[in-house]
Order: sequence, then structure tokens, then C-alpha cells
Amino acid sequence: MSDVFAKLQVFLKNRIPFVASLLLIMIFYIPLNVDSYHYLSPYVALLCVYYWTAHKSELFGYFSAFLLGLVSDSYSSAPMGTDILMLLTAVLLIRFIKMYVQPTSFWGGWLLFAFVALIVYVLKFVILALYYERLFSLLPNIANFAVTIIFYPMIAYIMMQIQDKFLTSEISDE
Amino acid sequence: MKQQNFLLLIKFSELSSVLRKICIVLLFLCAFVFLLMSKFSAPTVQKISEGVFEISTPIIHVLEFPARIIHRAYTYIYDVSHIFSDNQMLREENRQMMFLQNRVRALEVENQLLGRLLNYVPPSKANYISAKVMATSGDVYAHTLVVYIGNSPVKKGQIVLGNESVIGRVEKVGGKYAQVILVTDINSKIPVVIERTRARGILSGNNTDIPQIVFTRPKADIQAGDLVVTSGVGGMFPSGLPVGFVSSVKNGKIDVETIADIDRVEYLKIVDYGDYSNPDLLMKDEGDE
Repeated sequence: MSDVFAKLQVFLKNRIPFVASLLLIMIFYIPLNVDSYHYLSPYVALLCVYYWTAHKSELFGYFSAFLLGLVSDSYSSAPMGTDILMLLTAVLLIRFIKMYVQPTSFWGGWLLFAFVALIVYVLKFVILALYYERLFSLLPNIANFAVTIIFYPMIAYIMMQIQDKFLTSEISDE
Repeated sequence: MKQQNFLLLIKFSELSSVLRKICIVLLFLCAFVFLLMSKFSAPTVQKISEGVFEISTPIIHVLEFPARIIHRAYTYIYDVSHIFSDNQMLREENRQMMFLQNRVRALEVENQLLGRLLNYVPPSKANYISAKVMATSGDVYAHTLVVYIGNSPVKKGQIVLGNESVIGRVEKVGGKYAQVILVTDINSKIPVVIERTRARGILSGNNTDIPQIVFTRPKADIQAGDLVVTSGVGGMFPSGLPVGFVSSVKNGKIDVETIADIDRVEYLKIVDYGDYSNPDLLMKDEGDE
């Protein structure tokens, strides 16, 4: 009985990065009655995917990114699959970069996130321009990109607290 | 025996690695397939999206609760501090409304008499469903709202009003929630007419705060300040609902400023315009003809 309980505990602990990311994404959907909120709201899903892939890649993989993208797409009027593709690309990119570069400082992590976010934003811009067969205004995208970069310390801090509180002990890879 | 087991273990780990790679490729493929199917408006994608929307939206409803309490407290303090100036403004507004009410009554009677003379068949009357805004998409490429509709019979395609002016239409319904595409969203296309000159066009969103009127006649008389209302063309929406004012006309580009403050709307009204607010039914009817 205790064995089953221990296994269940490990299973639930392994899902913390995904659940924390999902809740954070949902929190940012709550309307704040702020002008131009569409441009000023950060790309939280990308921030979460970056943090967990960079810090706990054994607990946050492609499937988690796929599910977060699916939720994100269901709330958006953009074509289904856009966010899934962006988040999967982010995971692929981060894992590839991690093979060569391992940022040791917070600033290094922030810089690396800016690089990953830049590629994801450009890719999203190109894919949606092809989909709608028209070019979008660059300014809102640049503003949104900048807001996402600025929000990195806050999201990273929240995730770090969750990691320290719940994921400090060794957890087996599922 | 030990060597055999070791080799078997290596083979198993290789197989597992290959399977993992195949799964990753499949996930990417799945995303591409979703994108392609969205392009051709496949119902399967719509159903998947609605399913995920229905399952996940109650989470926001729970998370929104503390935010709602804080917001209510703030609104209460703000209202109390502005009670005197609001009262004065409302008195003045009421005086003007009383005057207008008498005029409207007279015009209504006149309209009925003229309608009878012309054997005019009025369009079907609309019912209104109130809904509360629960979430926004918060995305540069998507201008949408999620609203709580309860058990009200809301359907895809119904027009949505905020502050008595059009702000969008219902895109999908999942359980007790509905997603509203705002007039500023790139996927929003609403047939409109300029009230002053009756020049027709389509109000098209472009993912900025300023939608534009497209498909107008080249020499249509449209000026900055003109009121834009729904035309009712196609029968999906009632005609005459205000949308916004023309903010500028430059090089054939007609920009429109919406009347409702879309970023701050909290409650909205969904217009139930009978069976004809359902686009699928409308298409079926057209096909039958």
C-alpha cells in the first residue's frame, strides 16, 4: 500500500512543472482591464516552457509543451497548431543549445531566453503571415517580445520557488 | 547469460530512444496537420479546440475568484468617491433622455403608420443574453474574450454587444462558456453600413486596435466622424447596431474607432437573432435554394 502511495507521490511530483505552467498561463488570461492588454501581456507559455526545459528537462518534455500549446491554441483565434508548433520548437531549440552552452548565471539564462524567444517570435510571425497571406504590423510584435523578455525574472522567480519547495528531492524520470 | 542480458538491455535502450524520436516527430507532424486543417476549416480541429476549451475554462473560473473580489472592492471605493459628480451627471443625462424619449415615441408612431402604408415586413426581433467576461486571450495575434454564459442557449455566429455597441461575435461554445472574437481580430468580418450615406462595406479586423472597412465602392462618400452600423446583410445580424466611428480616411484606407472600450468591457450582451444567427443553418438554407 505504501509502495503505491509512494509511486503516486512521485507521479504527482513529476507533473508539478506542467501543472504550475498551466495555472500560470491561466492566471494571465484573467482580464486586468488594461488598455492594449493584447500587446502588453507576456508570452507566459514560452516563459514556462523555457524555464522548465532549461532547469528540469527530465520532468518537462515535448509532450508537456504539446499539451500547453493545445490549451493556449484553444483560447486563441489564431489557427490551431500555431502555439503547439512554437512551444515544441522552443523545447527542441533549448535542448539543442543545452548540448553546447550551459548558462551558469541568471543573466546568462536571461540572455539565452531572449535568443530563443527571438527565434520563436520570428517563426510565429512568418508562419502566420503565410497562413493569412498578409504581413502583420511589426510594432505590436516587438512590444510583445520586449514585454515577454522583461517578464522573465518574475516568472523565473515564481518557478524557482516552486522548484525549491516541491522538487528539491531526487525524483525518478518517468 | 549475463552478456546476453546486457546486449538485450542495450537493444531495448536503443529501441526506446528511436521510439522517443518518432514520438517527437509525430508531435511536430500533428501541429502541422492542425495548422493545415485549420486553413481548410476542418470540423475535427474545431471539435478538438472546443473540447480542450470546455475542459480547461472552469480552471480560469476558479482562479478568477480572488481577482474578482479585489476588483469589486476597488470598484466600490472608486464609486463611493465619485458619487457626487456621478449623481450630477446622471441628473443632466436623465433630463436629456426624457426629452429624447418623447421624440422617440412620436417617431415610433410615425414609423408604424408609414410601415403600414408600405406593407413593410419588419425583421425578426432579437433577444439578448447577458454574459460576464472571464478571460482574454492576451496574444498579439488573437483578440478574443472568454465569457460565462451559464445555461443560456448561445450559438456560434451570434453578435456580441458591449456598452450597446458591437464588439464581436461568438466563435465557439463549450459547456457554460463561450469564446468571442472581437471586431479587432483578424478573423472578424462584419457587414456594415455608413449611417449617413448608406455606403456598404465589411468591417475587417487586423489585430490592431483599429479595424478597417474594406470592400466599399471606390467613390463611396465616407468621412471621418461618420457612424458605422451593422448592415444586416446576410441576415446573420440585426441591422442598425452601432459599431464605431470612422476615425480617418486615407488612401482608400478607412479606419474605424470602436464605440465600446474593448479592453475594459466586463459584461456584454449576446444577440439571439433567431435561427438565422447560426451560420451553419444559413449556409444550409442557401444550399437548399
